[in-house]
Amino acid sequence: MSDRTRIPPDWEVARLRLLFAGMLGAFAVILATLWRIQVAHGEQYREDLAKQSVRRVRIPGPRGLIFDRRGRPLAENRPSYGIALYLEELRPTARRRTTAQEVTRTIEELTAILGVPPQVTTNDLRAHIKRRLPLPYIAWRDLPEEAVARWAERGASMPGVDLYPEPVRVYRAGSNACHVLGYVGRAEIDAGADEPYHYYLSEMAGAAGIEKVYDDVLRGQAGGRLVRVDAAGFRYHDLGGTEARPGQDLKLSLDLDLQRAAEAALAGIPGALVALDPDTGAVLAMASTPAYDPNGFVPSIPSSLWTALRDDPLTPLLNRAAAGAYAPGSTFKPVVAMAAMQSRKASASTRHTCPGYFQLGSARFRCWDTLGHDTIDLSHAIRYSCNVYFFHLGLDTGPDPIAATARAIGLGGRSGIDLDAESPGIVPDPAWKRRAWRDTWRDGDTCNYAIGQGPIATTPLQMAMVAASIANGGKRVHPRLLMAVRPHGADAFRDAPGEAPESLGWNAAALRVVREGMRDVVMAEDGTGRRLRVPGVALAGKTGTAEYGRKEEGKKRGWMIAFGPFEKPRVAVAMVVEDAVSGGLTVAPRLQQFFAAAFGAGTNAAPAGGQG
Amino acid sequence: MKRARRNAGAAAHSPAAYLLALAVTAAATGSVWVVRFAQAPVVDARAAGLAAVYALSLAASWAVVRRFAPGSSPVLAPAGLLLAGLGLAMGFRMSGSFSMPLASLVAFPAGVASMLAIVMLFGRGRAGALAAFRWPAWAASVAVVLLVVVAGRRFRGTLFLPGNINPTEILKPLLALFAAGFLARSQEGARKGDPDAMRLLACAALWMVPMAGLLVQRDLGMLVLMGVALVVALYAATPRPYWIVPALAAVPAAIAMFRYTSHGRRRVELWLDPFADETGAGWQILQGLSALYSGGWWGSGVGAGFPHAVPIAASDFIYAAIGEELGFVGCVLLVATYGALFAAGFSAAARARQPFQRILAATLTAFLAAQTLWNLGGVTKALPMTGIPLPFLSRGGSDLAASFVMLGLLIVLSDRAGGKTQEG
Repeated sequence: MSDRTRIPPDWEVARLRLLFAGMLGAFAVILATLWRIQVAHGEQYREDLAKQSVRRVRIPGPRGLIFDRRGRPLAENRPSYGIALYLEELRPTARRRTTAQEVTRTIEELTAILGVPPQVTTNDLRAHIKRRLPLPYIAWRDLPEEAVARWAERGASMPGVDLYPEPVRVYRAGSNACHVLGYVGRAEIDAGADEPYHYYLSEMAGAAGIEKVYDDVLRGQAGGRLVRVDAAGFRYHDLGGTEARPGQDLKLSLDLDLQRAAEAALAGIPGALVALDPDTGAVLAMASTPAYDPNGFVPSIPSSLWTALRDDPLTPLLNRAAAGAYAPGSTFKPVVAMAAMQSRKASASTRHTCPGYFQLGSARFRCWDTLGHDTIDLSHAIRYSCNVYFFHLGLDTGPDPIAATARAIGLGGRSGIDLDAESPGIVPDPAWKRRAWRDTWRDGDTCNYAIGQGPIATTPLQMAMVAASIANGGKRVHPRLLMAVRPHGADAFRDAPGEAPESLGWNAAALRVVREGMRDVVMAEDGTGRRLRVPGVALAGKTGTAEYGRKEEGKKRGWMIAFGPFEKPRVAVAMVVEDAVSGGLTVAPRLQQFFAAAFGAGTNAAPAGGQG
Repeated sequence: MKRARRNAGAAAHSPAAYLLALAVTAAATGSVWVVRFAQAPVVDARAAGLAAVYALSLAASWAVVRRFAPGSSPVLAPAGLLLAGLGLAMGFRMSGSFSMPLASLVAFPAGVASMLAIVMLFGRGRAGALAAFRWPAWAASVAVVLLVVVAGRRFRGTLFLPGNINPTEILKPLLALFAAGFLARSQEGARKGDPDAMRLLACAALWMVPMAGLLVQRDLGMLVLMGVALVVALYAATPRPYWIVPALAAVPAAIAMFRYTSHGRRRVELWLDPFADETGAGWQILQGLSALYSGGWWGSGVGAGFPHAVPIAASDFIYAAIGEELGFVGCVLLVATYGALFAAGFSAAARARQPFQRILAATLTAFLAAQTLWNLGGVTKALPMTGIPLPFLSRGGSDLAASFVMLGLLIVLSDRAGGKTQEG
């Protein structure tokens, strides 16, 4: 065995030396790297580390409030309480458990105390642990009061758990003005924005209505807070940042009393009512039925509720007042009358005879009163709503002047009101018919047009604009909901005026004829809208009835436009209801409730002329 | 002559080195304890228990190594124990309030016991007898890999046995033993000389059988280590450049592994640009760097840093915690300790009289050194992090035990007195 104790060949030792030298070299590299990191650290390196150890947290500014024109709250923020878990404090002390298990255990404990199941899933938790460990993990949101009380009593001493206050939108007026106000949802924050945040506190974003249109104004400016979470521990080293700025408060032109009166007038029937200040175009009330309670939509809409509302055949989500366009029926006649007189095809003294029907070639167009109206002038034709008279008037005038007048008032196009959903409606003329139906315009079309039937479609808002233009002496109004804005910290609201009304260039005498005809509709004993009368105030109006749906069903929409007081109007209204007997029978008594509330004894609910 | 040598050995194995290890560990543990006590004045009996276990291990090691491997390197055992002691102190420091990781408490005494058992059995020049275990060692390594592949569960991308035990750590001494025995066979007896090409290739092929299992297990760190060790084994076995074969083969293999497996690709991407996912998977590397960076020259002192900010600080990223708390100076001393350990290992290889001892010592040292370098490189972002623990220091039971087994082997291989005494 002595041969085993050989002298190792040179190559063996040389190789091992080489290996050892290589290893020493590698160690030297490691130490050099280490030296660079620990001692010599370059500026770039420091920056990189600062970048990774600082978390930007986006903190939303409190959302602005919404008030009615008298300062009554419509949308506010209510504090809500959630439970936040601070995961780094919940790190397990026993090695066998993971943070996730520890947190799950804590959540189970809290569930027993609160009596409310948590609103997060295991996946949420896993993602949070991985990406946002140092930031609060919200396991419950908007806890009921009893649960918060139970937590305060039994859970407050738990380590790593704390109450998490968060504002929630609340609509003080419930379903009142729901279509105008809209609602908020959770904001989807664009992750690719210029300033990327690591964490977002939940933020509200307007999803419909005023909340959506003025979202920028209401939302204010999110602030950023920098939080350091480096090797110095998972602690908040608040490094400052930009302050979150609260949003601005809005004052709407709506009058909550009138709004409620409008909704009461529509009670139990699908329809819409729009009331404008004829001098400014300010919207005093805008109601659409059926309505919904937007408080059920916050912070997010339960899918069952959403499905139910979406599939409801009565379309509660639709704002009929601005987004529903229907044939205006006889409420369109004042427009036709103005068009006829403006184009000098008729005057106050123009008379036609109504035998109860109108023969046009082989077709016979009926007046609504088959007994006829004898020979009457324009004012009486409006008062009785005589179809035959308006067939003559329409044929004398022609469709184009009618369309031009209607468009000047604001029909056939979006009014530009500050709402997110608006229908432009349709104002037909021969060119339109050629384009849309590839057909020529016939006299029958003109006859239908003259009584507000056929393809014409107007929104209640547009018909309220018609009423306003007649009420204010011939000015086109630009309806607007926003009245004033109050930036955060300011004491007073600042007016946010909309476009001023513009003159339509109407002949004063012609307008007087229409106005008087409309006054007689209400005030004369035989006016079709006499059921609108309110003691002590002179009102003017025009009723309308338009068929819709399949002919054999015989369904009719009842309309009424109205304004008052007659001499110096402060309110101009359009109202439509579905499934009506007629405008005079179904709508007038309902609209009477509204005017009674607006001008009734002691309520004085109608706004003063100059306001807004 | 014999007496003189033994005396020289005994003198070399003075208790001073062991006392140094004890002092370092006690200082570290004491520092943790003081910080803890300042935070919550509770006397922690476990720290005392830990100190007792550790002191006992030191004493036993000193006595056994002195008695059974008197000619062995005086550096190996104290260096390993010092590192392990520091690892225990850091583990104690990392653990929650007052609990000690059970795995370390079991693995440390078990590892030390294995090391001492090896010394007692194969000391005094009986290391050559280990060559007889080459085939059982190979069979055992294949069996272990099969067990893991069949019964393992995935955790952090890698298969582990229940309880997150990774028994493949034991592959390192087993395969080193096999390769050394297999390659040395040709250099003994009648056919003295270099192993022929067939034998070298056969060795590489057999070595790669358990490696294939590791591929399934997706333990990238272990695969890298095994590849490096195989190259070193061949390099140490023959003057002819056969080592180039696995070294060249390793290049495409590594590229394939890091590029075409999602696990590996992710590691490389994170390594190249941890800031791309700074709050996610890159977080660990960055927090490790951040901890190192905050250490500066002198560190914050053991117990005073915030190593919990680094995910899995107690295992793979322990060096980041040490860097933070002991500073650059502490890190240099730590690296120097490793350097002394590996120098002793290579020295044992260089002085070995027999090819078996030489190849085995070189391969074992290569395993430990490569593991250390790869871990340090990963933490300092010089290399991709692949989940390799730092030998002796990292918390992790099976790795600590395997490291002590390898240390025990190195001790008996370094026993200069060996050959002579046996021959009498």
